[in-house]
Amino acid sequence: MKTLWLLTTKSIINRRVAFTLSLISIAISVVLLLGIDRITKATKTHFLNTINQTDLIAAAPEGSLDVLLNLVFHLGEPLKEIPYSSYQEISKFDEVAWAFPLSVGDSFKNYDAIATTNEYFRHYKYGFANSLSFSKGGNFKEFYDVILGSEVAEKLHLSLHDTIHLSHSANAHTHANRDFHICGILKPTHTPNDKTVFFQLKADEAIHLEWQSGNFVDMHLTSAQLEKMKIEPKHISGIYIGLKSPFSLLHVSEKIEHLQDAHLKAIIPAKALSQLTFLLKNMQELLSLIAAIVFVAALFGMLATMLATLNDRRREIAILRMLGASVGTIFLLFALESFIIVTSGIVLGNIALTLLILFNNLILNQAVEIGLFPDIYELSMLGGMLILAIIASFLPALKSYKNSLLDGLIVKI
Amino acid sequence: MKNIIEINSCHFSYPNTDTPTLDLAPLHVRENEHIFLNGKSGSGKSTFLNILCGVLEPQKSDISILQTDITQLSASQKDRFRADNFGIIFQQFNLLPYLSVSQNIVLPCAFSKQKALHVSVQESEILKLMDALELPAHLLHKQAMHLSVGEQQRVALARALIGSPRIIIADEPTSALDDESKQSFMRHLFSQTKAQNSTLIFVSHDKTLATHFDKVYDFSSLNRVLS
Repeated sequence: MKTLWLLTTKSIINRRVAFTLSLISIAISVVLLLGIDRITKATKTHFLNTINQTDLIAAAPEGSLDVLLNLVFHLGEPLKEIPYSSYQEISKFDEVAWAFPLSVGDSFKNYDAIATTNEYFRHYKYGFANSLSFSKGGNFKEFYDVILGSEVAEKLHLSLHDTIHLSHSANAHTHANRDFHICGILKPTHTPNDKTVFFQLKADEAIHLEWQSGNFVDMHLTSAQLEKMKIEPKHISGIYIGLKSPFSLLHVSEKIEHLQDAHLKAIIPAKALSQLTFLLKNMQELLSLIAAIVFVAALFGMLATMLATLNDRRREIAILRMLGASVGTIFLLFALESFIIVTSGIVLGNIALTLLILFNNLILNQAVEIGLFPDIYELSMLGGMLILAIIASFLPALKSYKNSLLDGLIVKI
Repeated sequence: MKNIIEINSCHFSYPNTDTPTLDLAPLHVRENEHIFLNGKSGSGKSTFLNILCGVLEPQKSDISILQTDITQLSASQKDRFRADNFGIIFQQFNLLPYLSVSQNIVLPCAFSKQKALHVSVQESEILKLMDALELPAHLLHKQAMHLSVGEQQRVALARALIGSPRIIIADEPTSALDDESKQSFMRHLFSQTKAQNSTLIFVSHDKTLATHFDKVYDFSSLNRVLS
């Protein structure tokens, strides 16, 4: 066994270039196969936690995916508006811990603008119950204050106290003469919040007051004066709701659906999100399939190099046979060699993947934290790769076994 | 003196061929004898050596080596028998190129317990053999592929000799060597096989080497297929 090991390692060192190339191609396929699995899992977890701890979202009676896309991802056709009074009623429910209204439909340079209240920044939770936090500035203070998501600030090179103008719907005119001042910029969250501009719900209403029959009339009102006017919106797009106890979920949904003077429906965002993950699943399967094909290609690459060198090694085999090595030993020698290549490729791939993930998690400081360790599924995948590799390694071993039977001790090349 | 190798008959033909390759006349080799087999290529001597070493199986035969009927042995027993009792040298490319000189020389001890038992201290045995074959000690850890052909053949000889096997088989070991190395190789071969009391089967087409051998056979007359 010691001799077998010596022969194998020396033979590998002798063929180090081909060995290294086979090793790297296997390592790359391992990084791909496990990396794709790891990343899709992390993405899925992250995606499922785009919004957290919001028990219900009340909106116009549409499909729950429509509501989710509209009010969480700010995508799709706008929903019908609901009366602001519904918000006032719901927030008075005993079971409700908190609730805040929001209105979608405005935009700022292709970024969505959401009208809401300071409650949004207190209660919106994502990931593992992370709160939104500010990298600069803080909550709304002045009437025409605006808060930017991290990406908006970065891409548009905006910073605190800068002035911007919002427009109603993406292609309409801007409210050119109404200045908004940036009072806060959010930290990156890798949620739709990064691409969103937030302003006060009452400001939304006030702008529309200032616009009278298509003309802008700046009434030069100060924040204090505007506050005194107690401007309240008439309509909103939806209401985020947090409950005191999750057990009242169905009860509260029913109460919302039976509100008087309004036609509302409450969706459970967590449930709607999990319905969306089928989109990810197809992608994940496709990527995994590609990675598996890459692995098989790497195996074939290794087989090709091993079989190509087999002819040169017939003398080597004859020498070993001459010294008394059995054909079984020859078989073992070749099987061991390909086994070593594949296992070290797998080990190298795992090390490389771990380093890449550490780099992502620590250096790039991404919000999407990727798991460092393989789970049962990945371990079984690694096991499968190893078994496949062992089977593949039998091919050169079998070929050299046959060669050694044919050649005997005297090789005529 | 005992017969070390006793061949009374041996018939061999390769699979899928009509004509037989070997039909040997009786050949007896005594202990410590030095035998010269003269044969052209195609005379079936490679086949003969493969049979002698237990790598090929004759269809019909009566062969006994060291009082053992080798055709009765299983494949793995034959491998062990070869490992224990034979030291073999070929024309060229005898060494594993990626192993060092010393690793090449001791390799037979890994396949034969008997040879390993004969060698009490491997390191000193290697140095002793290298010294006897005029191989400088600094080659000890050099990779075999970096040696000259003459040096390679002497390392192969050292490997064939280690563990004092009863039978040494040399198949055209000098054909790749120049005249001077050829002479020194033959000198070493004779002195070492004598020192170890080994029987020597030497196969060559070079008749000038036939002097000094106890017996000289023409292989084409031994093989009845050809005559």
